[in-house]
Amino acid sequence: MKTTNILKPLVLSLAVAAAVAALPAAHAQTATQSAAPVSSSAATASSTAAAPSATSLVKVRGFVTGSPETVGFTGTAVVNSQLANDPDFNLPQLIFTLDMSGVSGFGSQSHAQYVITGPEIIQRRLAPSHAVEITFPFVVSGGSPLATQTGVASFAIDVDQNTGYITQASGSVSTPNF
Amino acid sequence: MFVPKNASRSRIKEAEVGRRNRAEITRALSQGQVTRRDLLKMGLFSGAGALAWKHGLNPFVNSAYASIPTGFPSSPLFGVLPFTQPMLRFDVLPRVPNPLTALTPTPTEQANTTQQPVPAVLGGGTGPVEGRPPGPIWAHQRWNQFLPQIGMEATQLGARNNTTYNPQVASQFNSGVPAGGNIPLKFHPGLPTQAENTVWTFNGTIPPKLAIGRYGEPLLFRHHNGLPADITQNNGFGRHTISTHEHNGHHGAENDGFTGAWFYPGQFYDYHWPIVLAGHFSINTAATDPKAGTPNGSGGITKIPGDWRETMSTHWFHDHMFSHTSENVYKGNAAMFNIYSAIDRGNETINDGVNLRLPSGRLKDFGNLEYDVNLMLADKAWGNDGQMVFDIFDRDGFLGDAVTVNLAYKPYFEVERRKYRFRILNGSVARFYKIALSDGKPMIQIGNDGNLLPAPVTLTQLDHIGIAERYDIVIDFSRYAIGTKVAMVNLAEHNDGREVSHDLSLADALAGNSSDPGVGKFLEFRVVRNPATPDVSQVPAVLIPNPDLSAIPVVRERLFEFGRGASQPSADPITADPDGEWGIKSEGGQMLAADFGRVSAMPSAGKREVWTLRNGGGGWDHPIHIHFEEGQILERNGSLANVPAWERGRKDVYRLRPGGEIKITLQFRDWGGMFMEHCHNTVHEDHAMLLRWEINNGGAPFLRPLPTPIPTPQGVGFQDPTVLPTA
Ligand SMILES: [Cu+2]
Repeated sequence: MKTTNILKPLVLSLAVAAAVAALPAAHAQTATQSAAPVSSSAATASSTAAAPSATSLVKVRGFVTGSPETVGFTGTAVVNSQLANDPDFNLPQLIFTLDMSGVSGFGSQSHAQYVITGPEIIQRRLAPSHAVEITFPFVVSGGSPLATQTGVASFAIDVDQNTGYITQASGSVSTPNF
Repeated sequence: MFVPKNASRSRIKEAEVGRRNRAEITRALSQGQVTRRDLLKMGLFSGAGALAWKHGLNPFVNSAYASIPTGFPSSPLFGVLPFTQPMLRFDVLPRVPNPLTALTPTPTEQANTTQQPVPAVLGGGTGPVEGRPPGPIWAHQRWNQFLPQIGMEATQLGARNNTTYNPQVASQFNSGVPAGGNIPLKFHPGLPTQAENTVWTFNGTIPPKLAIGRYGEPLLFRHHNGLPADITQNNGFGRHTISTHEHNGHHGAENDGFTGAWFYPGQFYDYHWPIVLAGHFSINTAATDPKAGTPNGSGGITKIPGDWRETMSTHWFHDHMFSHTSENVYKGNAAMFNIYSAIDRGNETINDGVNLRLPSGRLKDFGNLEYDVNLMLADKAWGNDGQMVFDIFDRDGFLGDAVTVNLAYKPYFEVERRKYRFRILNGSVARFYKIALSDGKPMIQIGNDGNLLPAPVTLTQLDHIGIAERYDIVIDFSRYAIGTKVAMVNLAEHNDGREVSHDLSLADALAGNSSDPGVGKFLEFRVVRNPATPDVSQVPAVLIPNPDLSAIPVVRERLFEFGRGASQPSADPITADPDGEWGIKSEGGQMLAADFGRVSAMPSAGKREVWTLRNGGGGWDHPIHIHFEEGQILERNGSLANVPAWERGRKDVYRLRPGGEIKITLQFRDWGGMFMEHCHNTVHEDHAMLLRWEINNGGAPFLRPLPTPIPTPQGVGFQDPTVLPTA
C-alpha cells in the first residue's frame, strides 16, 4: 500500500495497535499477584480509582516508532508512592518508583518480544497531582544492552495529601522527541 | 542559593547586601577570629536554625521575597556561552619509582619529627616537618611488608598557571588540547583568573589531578601543605590546615585522612596506600586465585592475596579538615584515583580470560586513558568580580549556580564513534545530579562508587548521584553520525541544599523549565571522527560479583539515625563542634554533634556487622559515607526488593533518600585504627554530622580506645578519648 509520509505514522500506529491487541494475555497481566487496585481499559491510557494505596498497578499501552521497527507496548506498570513527612520545614516529599518491567513490547515486523529494565525513581514535593514523564530503556529479550532503545512513559498520578497514597493513576507510552 | 534570573533589581541588590554581610562572618569564622561557639552565643547560629537569619544575614527573611530560601545574586558570566571551551582531561600526577630513595626526606615508618622553624604567625618556635601524629600508634601499619614502590608528591597551593599539564593522552583524545602549555586558573577562558587565595588545589592548578595506582604496588603519597601560614590569607573562606582522605581506601587509619589529624602550612604528611585486596590476610592468602591479580607490566598477571571480588576501581581523595571540609573541597581540594587490577586493567585488547576489557585503550599494559575519562562535577558560584564565593551560613548545604566539569564551566568534549567509559564523580558540596543524555539514549552503568557492579545496568536516566558518589558508565557513540552533538543533562532541581525538590522530565529540563540554574545541559559531547582502530572494548554481562559474606556470622547490629538539632556534651574547644544543626544518634541515644575525641562505635577486627542508617526526617537527604570498608546494601525501607540493580554491588556512600532507611553489612578486616562515618553533604558534615568509630582489636595500634590527636604547628599532642557506652 502506498502512503504519503504524513499518513505513515498513522498506518504504523494502526498496525501496532492490531499487534498489541493480539498479544497473549500473559503479556498484559504480568503483575496481577499484587492486591493493589487495578482497572483495565482498552484505551492507550487507563486509570485506577479504587481504594488509595501506596502501590498502584497501572495499565499502559502505546508504541515507539523508530528504527529498526516500531514496537508496541502493553502491560502493567507498578507505580509506588512513598510520602516522606517533613515536620521541620513542612516541605514533604514524594518518592515515586515506576517499575515498567511488567510492560513488554512487541516488534511490528520481527514479532520479537522487547523487555524494559528499570525501575525509575522520581522525587517530587508533595502535591495533589503529578505529571511524571520518564524515559525508559527497552531491548529485544536476550539482546545486547548496546542495542537498547528509548521510549517515553507518561504518568498522571493523583495522591492523597495525608498518606501519599495513590488515588488515581494512568499511564501511556510514546515515542521520544528530543 | 540562587536568585531567579528574572529577579527585580531591588531583590538583587538586597541579595548582594546579604551576601556581603554573610561573607564577612564566613571570613571571620574561617580565619578563626570568631568561633562557632561565639556565633551561637550571638544567636547567629542556633540548633533550630531560625535565629541564624537575623541582622540582614538572610536578605529574604521578613521581606517580600520570603519564599526564596536563601540567595546570592547570579554568578555573572561575562558574556561566556555554554559549550564554548574544551573540557580538559585530568592532569596525571607523576609516578616516581623507588620513593624510599627518590623522595627527600626519606619516607619513614613513624612520622618524621625532624624539627624546622615555625613561622611567627603560627606561634614560632620549631615543629616537626611531617604533620602525621608521632609515635607507634600512627606509624604506617605493616610498613616493612608493604614498602612503597611508587611515590607521588603534590603540594596544596593557591591558584597559579599550570605549566606541566600531562593528561597522558595525545591531543586528539583531549579535544585537541596538548600536554604542557600554560593553563590559567579560570573556569572559562572568558572568565576572570581566580586570585591566588581564592582557589586552592593540588599543585595550585587545574584541571584536577589524577593518581594512577595498581593493586599490589604500595604507593606513598607525600602531600605538602603550601598554603599561606597566615590563617587570614584565604580570600574569605577555606582553612589552611588539611587532612587528606583517600576515599574509600582500604588502608591503615593513619593514612585515612582522619578529620582530627590535620597538618599545617610548611609541613607534609606521608600517606601510605598499600593497595591490597580486602581479605588479604584471610582469603586466598597463597595468591593462587587467577582473578586476584594485578597487571605485571608486560601483558601478564601477578597474582596477589585477598578476595578478587573486593577489587576496587574508582576512588577520589579530598580534604577532611574538621568543621572546614566543605570550604576546602569547594576551594579545590579534590582529586581522583584510578586503581587498576588484572580484572579492571585499563587495557581493552588483552584477552586473558580475566581482563574485562572495558573501554580504555591499548598502548600501555595498564591504565590507558584514551577512552576512559574521569569527570568531576562541581557547582560553583562567583561574585561580580568573578572570584569564587562560598556561604557557610547556608547550613542546608551550599549550592552553586554554575556547573563545572573538571573545573571547566559547561565545556564540550570531542569523542570518536565508539564506546567510552566515564568515571563520574560528584565533587559538589550539596548538589545531587540526575543525569540523562539530551537525546534520551541509553547509558550502561558498570560501577557504583569504587566498585564495578555484579552486572551492567542499562539506563536512560541515572539515579541521583549524591555528593562523593561515583558512577562509572559506558556510552556507545558509534550510534551517532560524525558531527552529532549530544549533551549530558541534569534533571534534578534543588530549591535548597537539603534535598532534591523536583526531578524534571528530560523535555522540561531541556526546555529550561526550572528556577535552578544547575538543571539542564552541562557537558556537550561532539562526535568528531571514526576510531583509527576498531573498537574491541567490551561490556561483559558479568563484571564483579559481590563477596559472599553469608558464612561470616553477624556479631552485632547497630542503628544510626541522621537528623537535626544535635547536642554537644563536650566543651572541648578543639575536638568538639558546638554547632549541632545536624547530628547523629547512635543506638537510640542522644542526637550528637561531632566530637572527634568521642568514639561512637567499636566493631571488632575480622567480624561482620549489620548497620542500619536511618534518615530522621523527610525534609532532607543524606549521602552517608562510611570509611574504610565496602558495604553491601541488604535492604532499603525494609526490603531487598527496594534496592535497585545499580545499588546491588558494593558501596561506600549510601543515599538514604528523604525519610528513608537503609540496612547494610560490613566486614572489618586487615587494618586498624580510627575511622569516620558522616554525611557527605559536606555542609551537613561540618555542622556537625560526623562520628568516629574505631576497630576494637587487631591491626597494628595497641591502645583501645586510641588517644585522640591534637595537632599544633609545634607538634601533635594526644588526649584521652571519650567512648559512648553503646560503642
Ligand atoms: Cu546530610
